[in-house]
Amino acid sequence: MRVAVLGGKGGVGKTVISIALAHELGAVLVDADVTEPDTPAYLDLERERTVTEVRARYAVRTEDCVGCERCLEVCPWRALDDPVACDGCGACATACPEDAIELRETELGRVVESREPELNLRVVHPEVEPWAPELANIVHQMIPEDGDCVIDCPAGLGCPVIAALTSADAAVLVTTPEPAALHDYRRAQALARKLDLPTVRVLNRADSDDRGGFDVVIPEDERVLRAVLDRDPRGLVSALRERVRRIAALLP
Amino acid sequence: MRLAVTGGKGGVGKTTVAAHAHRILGWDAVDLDVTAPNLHLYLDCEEVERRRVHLLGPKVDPDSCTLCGECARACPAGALIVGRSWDFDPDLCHGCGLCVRVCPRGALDYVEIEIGEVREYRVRDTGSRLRSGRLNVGDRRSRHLVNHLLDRLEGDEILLDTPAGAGKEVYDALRAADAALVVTQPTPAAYRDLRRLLRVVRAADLPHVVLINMADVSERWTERIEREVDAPTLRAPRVDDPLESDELRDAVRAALDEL
Repeated sequence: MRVAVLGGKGGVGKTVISIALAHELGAVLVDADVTEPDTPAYLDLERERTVTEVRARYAVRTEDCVGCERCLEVCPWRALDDPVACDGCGACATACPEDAIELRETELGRVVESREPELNLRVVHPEVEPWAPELANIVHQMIPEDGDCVIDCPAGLGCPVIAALTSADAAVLVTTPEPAALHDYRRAQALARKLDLPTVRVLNRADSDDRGGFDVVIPEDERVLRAVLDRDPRGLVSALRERVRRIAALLP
Repeated sequence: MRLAVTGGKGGVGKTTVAAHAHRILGWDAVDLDVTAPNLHLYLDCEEVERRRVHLLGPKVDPDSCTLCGECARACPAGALIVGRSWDFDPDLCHGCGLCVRVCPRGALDYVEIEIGEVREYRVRDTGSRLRSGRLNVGDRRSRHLVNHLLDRLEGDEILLDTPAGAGKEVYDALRAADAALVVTQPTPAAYRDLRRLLRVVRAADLPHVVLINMADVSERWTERIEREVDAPTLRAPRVDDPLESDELRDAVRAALDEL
């Protein structure tokens, strides 16, 4: 089974819950936050193999350019000669009447599979430049073809989150009690509904045990913060174990 | 000045800091976190207008189309399939308009494809405006909506609240700004994200300061950030009610002064 962990708002606890859940299920942890992959900040990872190299193209105007700017008319990002902005779609090259656009290949890094020895956890995570294009594509390449995995989604509900959800069999929706987090959580719920995914609704860092509308409530717990600051994965898993078991039990 | 408030890791206090900066400066603000917009929840404001945002995609005049397939070959997004019939998937279209341009028979025209909306609010205590982008749930074209907002900035005193992460949308926002207030926290993950984000800030080449929010949570990580980051750093305390805290407000003010 593939489980995506998402929430909309950042900082609600997606990554710590993903780590504990992957450990509980004996599943591979997939870090789908390609621009800001955080799992190495929580876990001491020993790199085992490269899953795939990540390359991209970016558009550069050559000396044949006559300055007609047709390229800029079709580029939504005005990204000519800027590898950080360019997404390599090539529209500019098609539009250029002088054949003066060169699409240069560039290496952006790789997706790797690592092992975390404390928890004996396998983790697939990106090591790519933050400006890598086609994030959905990278997410798809990170998800193992068979076997169970837990996909730790980035904040927001953008393209990489949708990519994770379209590959998932279930979603764990995480929020905290703050109004902004609940606002984004409701949008996350709407997205999961739209994609027809079964969900487990988790209220994290709750100040009471009131379940109101949630399947699992995780109380505020200083042990989690301490485990994060001390980079202590065992402490993290043990602080979250009981509630994460409930999440696991509710998965289809 | 156009000031971007950014912070790689989500939940470090970026939007809270943006709300304080807005109340200190009184500038118009733009919420660029279009898949999870919530600056309006941090400010006392009322909605005054709502406008749909569209891309321009193609529509075909079947009487003129010969199914030659030029449009499909030109489409960088793979949104067109032309064979026995002309098929277009509006969800994939990026609105570049190449298809319409390359059609040898002029058989294509533009049609609007909705991707989201912009809500405009009036902020009660400052009298200024907040424009908030809101992508339709499930739409993949957040970067288009971000750039729709960035293309329509008016005036020189604007606050830009960027999305979380360090990707291309964040870079687009930074490119449109003159300075950046970068928010982080003293945790291993936030620090890791900060370092990556600062590479993007440097690519956008703009002056910036780092505000370490809740610095007292970990003296160890705060000192490490101060020691290792190649930018001015300031501290903000952990407080009970961040939005109403004078201490946090003073820290944001100090960061703005530094810029």
